[in-house]
Amino acid sequence: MSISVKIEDAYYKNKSVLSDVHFNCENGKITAIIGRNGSGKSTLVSAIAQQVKYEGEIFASDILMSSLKEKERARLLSVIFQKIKAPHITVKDLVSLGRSPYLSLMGRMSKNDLDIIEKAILDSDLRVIEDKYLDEISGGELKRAYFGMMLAQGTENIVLDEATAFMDRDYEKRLLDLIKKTVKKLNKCCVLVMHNLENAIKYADNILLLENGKQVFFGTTERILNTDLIEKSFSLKRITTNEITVFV
Amino acid sequence: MRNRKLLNDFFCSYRGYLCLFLLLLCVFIASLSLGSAKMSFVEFFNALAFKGRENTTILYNVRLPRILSGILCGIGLSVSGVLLQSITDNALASPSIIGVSSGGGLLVAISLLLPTSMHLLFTPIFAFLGSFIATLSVIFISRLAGNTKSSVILSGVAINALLNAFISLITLLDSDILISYNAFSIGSFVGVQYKNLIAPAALIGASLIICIIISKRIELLCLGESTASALGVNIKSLRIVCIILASVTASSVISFAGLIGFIGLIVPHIARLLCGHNIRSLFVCSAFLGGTVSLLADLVGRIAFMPSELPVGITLAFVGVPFFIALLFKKRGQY
Repeated sequence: MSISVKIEDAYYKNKSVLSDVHFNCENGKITAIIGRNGSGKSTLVSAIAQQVKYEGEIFASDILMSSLKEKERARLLSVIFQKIKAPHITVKDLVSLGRSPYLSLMGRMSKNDLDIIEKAILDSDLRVIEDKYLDEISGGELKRAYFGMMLAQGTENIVLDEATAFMDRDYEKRLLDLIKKTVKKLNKCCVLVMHNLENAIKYADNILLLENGKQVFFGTTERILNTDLIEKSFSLKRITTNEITVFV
Repeated sequence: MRNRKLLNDFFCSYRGYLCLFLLLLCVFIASLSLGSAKMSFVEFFNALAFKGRENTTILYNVRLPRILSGILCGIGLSVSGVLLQSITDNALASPSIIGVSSGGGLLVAISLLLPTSMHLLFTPIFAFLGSFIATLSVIFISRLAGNTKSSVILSGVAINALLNAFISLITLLDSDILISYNAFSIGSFVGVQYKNLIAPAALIGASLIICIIISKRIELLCLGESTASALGVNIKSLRIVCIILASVTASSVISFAGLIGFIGLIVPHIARLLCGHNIRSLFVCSAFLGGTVSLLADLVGRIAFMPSELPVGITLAFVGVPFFIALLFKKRGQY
């Protein structure tokens, strides 16, 4: 198993906002984290990224994350946070920054690095906008550019927080398809925070449901659909027709 | 936008650096040949070759040290500005706004209480300590206050006000210090000697080299601290290193030229227009441009009202303020 989380307590501004979260994510599988606003999803991502204080153990590729230096960590696990910035650099520059954990202090790139960057641009379909600046492309393109950087970083474990928030439907589908394809093809282990429940059910293999900083459910997508936990947690009704599930 | 990319690519290359270097060289030659003492073309070249006692003295003992201090001042403050803007992710950060200058100023005012013979050694050390502590406290307070764009500036304003009150208090106590501090606070290159420049030149040079080496790490900060950390940057140590470098470069300048404002704010902005967010080129371009701007301001101050002259601090404020306001208009609503 590739990402293994055992959190007793995780803190935000010295207050425990997340407790008793235990789950595993295997290679080639997508785990979706769902829950209402303020349920602790982003804190969980920050804990996995080692950016908030927590008690417990988090493993990536069977290595204890808290024992690693930043650079070693960045070769093992990459993260796209919910809030991403759009500085005045080109898309290609951004993708190139994904190689940072592998470079020396001076930052000189080898032929291999450049090849990986080219491949990442190609795979994430960024060729047409590679020379555009981040502050002049759309929000959907920006997310895709960050995903391109993640591909260049090339870690076995990837975590994305609200990868498709505020995106048009077609863009959302395109990025999620891309993520799924990458995870299956490269046998990566992927944790996705998702706000769209229908997409979570469609794309994820496993689902982790959080409520008020507590883990309510972790298991396969089929299993959670056999319960009424999602409906209860979000106060929604489920409608299923022709194998399509919608929450209203 | 296409043109912008071409412009940025040009100034991120050696050809761009060469252009800026030639620009600096032009201003350098102009500064060396122009001044209140009139020299003909022939006399100037004779003096360059150490012929003609009086002109040689003017050239090598009056003008050249002044020119070198101008260039050094521009480089130091611009590099400090780029560093502060990068670590606070705030385009308004600069040595004078973050408190680097007033912190250095306070401790220099204190060092003026020491006997004159100790000034050469202790003024730079005091200037560095003051700058470092002031910067550290501004950034620390700003982080406690939520680390937003405005919190950096507001805590800078607060610390500046406090430091300036202390400076006024000290100068009130001793009228001799008031006079020497006044000269210090306007900022000028008059009377700077070679011996005052050795240590600052070494420190600024070394800092600039370190900046260029670690620039790829600093560049990641533009993606925000979380993302930079996820890409393998040790944010805490990088921040401390940058604060030390920014304090060293700014306080080295303070120690020989006094409090000179606006270069640390203006030059990084012009450089950013030229070379975008490539931090390595930004350091190189800022260094060249900083030297040029500060030297040019000093030259204008020297020849505009010949034979009397304006201190460079005043000339820079006259040019800097309109530029700053234009910048605010251009980036409307972004601060």
